[in-house]
Amino acid sequence: MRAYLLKRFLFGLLTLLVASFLIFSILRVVPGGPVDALIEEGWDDPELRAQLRHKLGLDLPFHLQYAHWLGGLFRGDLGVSLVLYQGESVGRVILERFGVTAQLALLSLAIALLIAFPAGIASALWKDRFLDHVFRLVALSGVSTPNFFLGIALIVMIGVGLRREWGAGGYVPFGEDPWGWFLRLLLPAIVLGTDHAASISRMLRTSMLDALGREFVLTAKAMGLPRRWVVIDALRNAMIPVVTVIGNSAGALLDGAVITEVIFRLPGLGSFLVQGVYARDLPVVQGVVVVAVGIRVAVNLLVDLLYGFIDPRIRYGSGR
Amino acid sequence: MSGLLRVEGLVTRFYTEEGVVKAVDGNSFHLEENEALGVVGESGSGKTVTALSIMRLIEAPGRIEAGRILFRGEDLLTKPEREMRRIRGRDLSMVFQDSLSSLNPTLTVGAQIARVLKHHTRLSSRARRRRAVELLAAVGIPEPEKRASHYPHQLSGGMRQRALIAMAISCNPKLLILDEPTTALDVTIEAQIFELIGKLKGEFGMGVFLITHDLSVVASFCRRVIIMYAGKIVEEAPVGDLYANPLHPYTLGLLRSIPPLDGEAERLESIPGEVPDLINLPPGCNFSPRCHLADERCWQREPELLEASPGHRVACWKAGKGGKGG
Repeated sequence: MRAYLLKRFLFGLLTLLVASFLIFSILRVVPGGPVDALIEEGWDDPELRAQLRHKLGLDLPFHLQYAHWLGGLFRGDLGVSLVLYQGESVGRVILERFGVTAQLALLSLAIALLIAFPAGIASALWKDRFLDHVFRLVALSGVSTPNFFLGIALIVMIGVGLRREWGAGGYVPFGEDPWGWFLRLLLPAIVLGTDHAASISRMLRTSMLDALGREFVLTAKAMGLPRRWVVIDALRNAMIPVVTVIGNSAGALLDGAVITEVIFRLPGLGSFLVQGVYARDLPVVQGVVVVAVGIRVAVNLLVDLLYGFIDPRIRYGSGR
Repeated sequence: MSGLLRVEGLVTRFYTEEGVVKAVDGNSFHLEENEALGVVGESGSGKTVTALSIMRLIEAPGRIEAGRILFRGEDLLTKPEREMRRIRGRDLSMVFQDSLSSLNPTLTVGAQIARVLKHHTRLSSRARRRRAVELLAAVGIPEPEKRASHYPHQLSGGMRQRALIAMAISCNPKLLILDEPTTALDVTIEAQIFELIGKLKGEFGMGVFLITHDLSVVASFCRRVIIMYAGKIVEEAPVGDLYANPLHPYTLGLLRSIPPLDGEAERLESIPGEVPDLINLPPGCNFSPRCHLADERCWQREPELLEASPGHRVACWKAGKGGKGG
């Protein structure tokens, strides 16, 4: 298990390295750059451009630029924003923005799990019965509804129709106004949470049905054990694929939900990325993407750890 | 009404999309205390479904349609599920075939035994753990304390099967059902397991319902044997009687398919044909399509299970006529 985790960790680092190279080179291949964004209409002139390029270090050869950035990366320095927050450290802004994304992610995940677990377990226990069909229908509509649609629909229905402040969007720190914080995060969290709840509950249903059909469940019943214990047995054995799906959801949520954050005007990672792209602010885009990859790698490592916690066969290996 | 277990006219069917599977079709038998009854038949003959019916563990789309299952004089089929959960594992216990999949991979062996005790007894958690270790020792597992904290995958097949038996006998059941408990094990381990079960049977006066497809196991372990074919009991006899004087052509076929241990090896025979489809059973005797003795009557009318000699019942129009010479 330990060797396995070490291997996964090293692979994670490698993934990060490859991702950093890809994003760095792609951004330098696509046309347009920070210089275009910085020069105002009418002031365009080659000399000014050259000056700017030199000042921003964009006139250096590609490999030197990359080495420079990568070196900073290892020191935990993501560079300086060129356009959006001129001169401001990208790392600092990302950290600030990540706070908002993380809060939204946690709330969304909580909503997703609160829906997915009861729905998934009930669907498995009452397979092909009324409740199962209802959950199937709801889950199907959940995954097929685009987030931008549900987000806007919720704003229109609740924000405009019922309660102005619910759909107001924006962000208030929890410390300043807990209720306002909750109200502003609730709708986007519902949009994201229901989306992920659908896939988690479907996986839970499938994997729970598989576990319920296994022989140890029959043994438990033959020993007269209460139904509740039997269900918990099955659930424990059904968790591995479910944890994988939850890990995917957690990773996706923590990367920043681009569309949902933009719709609800939340200053998170996702909306930061969008702004960075519009502004051609290279260090911002690079920084956000690398951090997002890092989050994915970390979440996947955590999921691997959880496997060992759930299943002793993984914890101790399959040998005797 | 004497006897530990008396099954009368048991009918269990499965309502599948393809049709109604007549898995167990009107069987009656009994089992005494401290008696081992062997149930022999090919796969799909209804052995396991009979056992699960006794345990009341038949689930949809299956249903017990008719009959009575008198366990110590009380009909299990009229008992509410709540009461069945108190009886299962305590008075009536079952060990399944595949020990690896029959144990929960996420719990230690000791914990799995201890929780059966938790459900059925008032023992404290420490006493339960101690008892679990005692049980593992009783079924002959070396270093029981260490093994109790092991997970199923960390034990060998023989040890797992013992642990499963330890769990099944943890509350001293009156009746133990064994569903091919040694199929996955090698012969020496098999002998050890049966020695163990025989000992436990003697100690507690436990009845044993042994499902197997191996007639030699039955010969050494059981007093009486039931032969099942396509959901029906076709022959029932004391073991010695069955070997000396098999009456049903199917029994004869089974006996002839066992290699003899002594003397010149005769030609091993197999029974021609296949087990019939339990959805579309033939109109007469279920075995008639494969039977070399079958005639008009066999194809049209079903023979009843009738006593041929004391304790020896057979369901065949041609009973005994197959003879040893065939």
